[in-house]
Amino acid sequence: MSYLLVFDSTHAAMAAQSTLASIKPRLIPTPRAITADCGMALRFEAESDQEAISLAQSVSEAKGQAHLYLWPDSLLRDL
Amino acid sequence: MIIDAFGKPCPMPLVLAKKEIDAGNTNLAVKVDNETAVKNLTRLGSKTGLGINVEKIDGGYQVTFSEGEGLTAEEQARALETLGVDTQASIGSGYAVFIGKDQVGAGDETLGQNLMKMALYTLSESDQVPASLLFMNAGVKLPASNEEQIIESINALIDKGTMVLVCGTCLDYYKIKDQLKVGDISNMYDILERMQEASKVITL
Repeated sequence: MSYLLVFDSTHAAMAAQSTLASIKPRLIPTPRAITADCGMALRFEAESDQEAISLAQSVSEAKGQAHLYLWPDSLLRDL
Repeated sequence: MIIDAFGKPCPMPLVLAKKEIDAGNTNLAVKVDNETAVKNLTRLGSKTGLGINVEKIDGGYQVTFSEGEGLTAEEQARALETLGVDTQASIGSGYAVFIGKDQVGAGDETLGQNLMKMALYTLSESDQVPASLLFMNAGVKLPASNEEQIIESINALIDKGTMVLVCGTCLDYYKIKDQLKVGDISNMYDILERMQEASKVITL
């Protein structure tokens, strides 16, 4: 399944891209439905919501506040 | 064989026709619903040396290719005019995207490179893909990149009908010719021709 990780800062998104390099996230513009800003977001694949949440949690601890969506725009959890 | 390209956005009618002609199917008709497609197909006829006949049909035009003498540019223009196709308006076909750097805009390099990655992704997801994507100078580092996402996006554009041309001189200068992963190695003539053919050129 596809998930989307949205950050509150551009720097956090770019840094998280490197942190998550092993799961090959795609750096994409945050979908319009989520924000009118041209923000950066990471799209990635995970087996389950649980796996996605724990991945997102590990990143948000290091990089700051993040929001996890089920692709494309259904909010799963704020981290 | 008749291709029904009604409702297909540019450059799809041209891509579909070219695929058939390249495969040797020269007895071919394409139904299109817009004048730009008629002009593109007519030009394809003269490029490939095939004869062209354009008829008005319900909801659009049918362009028929056949073996034999292709019409001269003048004859084509006259034929189109009798059908009420405005040959003067919007000379170009589709749009070209020119990428002469490995980043979008000027400023922070890391930000610029990430923006380029996102721009190519967004372009590849769009319904209206460019007719051509042209890489020159440091831009050629993109189709030679190790970044999977970049290569994926360029490949997706090719699948949707975009012609990708990469400056060979530039690949050679940066010594990365052997690292090119996607696109056709090309030259100044072809790249400029693509710009001239386009109705607009977008530079990132």
